[in-house]
Amino acid sequence: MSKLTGYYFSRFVISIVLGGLFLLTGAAWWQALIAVLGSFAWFLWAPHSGRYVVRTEKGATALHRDERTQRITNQAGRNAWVIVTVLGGGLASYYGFLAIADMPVSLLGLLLLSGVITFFASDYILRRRG
Amino acid sequence: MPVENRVKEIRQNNQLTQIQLADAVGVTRQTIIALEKGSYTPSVGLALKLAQVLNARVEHLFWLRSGEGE
Repeated sequence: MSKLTGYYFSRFVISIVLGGLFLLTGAAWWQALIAVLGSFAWFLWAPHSGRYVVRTEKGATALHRDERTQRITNQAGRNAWVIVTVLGGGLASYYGFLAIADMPVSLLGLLLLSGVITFFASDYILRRRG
Repeated sequence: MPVENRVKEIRQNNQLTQIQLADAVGVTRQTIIALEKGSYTPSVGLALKLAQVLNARVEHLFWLRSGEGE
């Protein structure tokens, strides 16, 4: 029996529980099934992704980032934070001092999107760089 | 600070695969690959763990690139 067998079994149970929670929120059975299959597929992929180390002794929280992946994630998060802060500050300054108008709420969505894109782009580039 | 290492050489001398070494020190295989390529400098803790698993002195495994830190 491989070291990961217990991990896979426990993640299957967690995925089933997640599907149950979906059903409790009033979702259709097929939506719950997608949640179960999607989350279990992610749990199957995670140990082989190079992003996580499996520490089976930790039980439900067996997936951990190692120090390199944690460093990459932290850097990507910082990059995203800087982009969102600078763009947000720029937009607020523009609407506050130049346009003298209310900032459209839809811009907040774009602001968040720019942060998300920066995070994943940074994460990808930093991983490729080593 | 540029740090060089001979992790690959000593790992091979110990007849360990990258996966075995990664499991032994609790990191991903990609971290071992990055380390052996010299594109990642480990923490002191990881360097000490590697030295322990590879039965080598840490200063034998890692050193500053010549001209650096002198």
